[in-house]
Amino acid sequence: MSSSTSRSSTWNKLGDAAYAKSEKVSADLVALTYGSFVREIIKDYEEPDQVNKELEKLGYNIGIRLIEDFLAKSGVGNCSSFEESAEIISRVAFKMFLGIRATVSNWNNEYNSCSIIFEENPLAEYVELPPEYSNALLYSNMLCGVIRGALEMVQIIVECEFVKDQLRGDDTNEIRIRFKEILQEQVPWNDEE
Amino acid sequence: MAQEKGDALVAEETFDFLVMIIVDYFLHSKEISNKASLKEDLVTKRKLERLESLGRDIGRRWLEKLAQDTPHLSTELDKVKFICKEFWTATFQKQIDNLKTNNKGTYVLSDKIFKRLVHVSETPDSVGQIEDYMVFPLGMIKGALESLGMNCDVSGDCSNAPSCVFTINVKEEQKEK
Repeated sequence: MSSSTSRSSTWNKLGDAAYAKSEKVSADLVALTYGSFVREIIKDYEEPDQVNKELEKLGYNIGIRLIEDFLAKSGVGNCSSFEESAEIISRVAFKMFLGIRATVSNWNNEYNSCSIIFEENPLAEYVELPPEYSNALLYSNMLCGVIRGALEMVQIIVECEFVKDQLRGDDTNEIRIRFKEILQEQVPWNDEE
Repeated sequence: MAQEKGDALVAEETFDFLVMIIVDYFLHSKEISNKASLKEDLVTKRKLERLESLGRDIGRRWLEKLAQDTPHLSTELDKVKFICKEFWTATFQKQIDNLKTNNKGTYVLSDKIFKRLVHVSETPDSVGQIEDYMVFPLGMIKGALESLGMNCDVSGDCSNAPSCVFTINVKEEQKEK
């Protein structure tokens, strides 16, 4: 327990340091941009399920690029296990990119599924969903895709799902992450020999 | 300590990644082009227009927020200066380095390090052309000027990215006598 507490505080410090040294933009600008973009996606796909899927896919495309930036700037080394990765996402990555700290909880007995919980969501600031979308649209679903994409690049395959969203009247925001498998490191094909 | 609403800050990378994926969505996504049964060149034009108009919409609303406590800007030059300082700092993390005008409605703004292109120009595997990544910020700048009551054409030369030169041409009927 004490070693996990000290690791937690190390990660908190890494998150704070990465956030402190980054250049910042107003969260309002990001919220405004994200909201306008979601509206365009809704125009294209209409069906909330399709919109959710598209948001997740776009997030995945961010995640697979963002991981390199994250590992280079955060100093976390490598994410070796699923359990450790979940902590790093909430304590370092959320802080570094969004300026907020999330917490990991609700581990299942097998330790292959947990929740990332966060009270503030900078993407959803000032947002009110129209009634026809308020139950079906997962407004911030891009975050699920970012997590899935980033972890895939460190060989960790997961599924993510928004299970609580303050925009839908829930008391908090909660992303459920389910661990699927660790990909075996591929031996790179060397075509120069 | 709780932060005031509106004061919260996020890393600029977050904004850059978001804009990068917006550009991808409009310009490089196959599904969107397959949806429209238009000719290829029309599709491209339509996609660029949508991306630009999203930028304009965001620029307009963003400027309204930034300028809400600013006293009325009466002259064209004051408005352009507001864009060069307040708008540029809030959107691109620095002021414009140099502003020139011919006093006939043309303004040339030089930014030695245009922050929104740093990420793109450093990433060799970025999808698409660097010009693609100018459409959205140009739209934002245009929208911001519109919000100040200026109807302009805005173009950008980023051939020496991340150094960029922006030219604002006030449309004829708008020019101050």
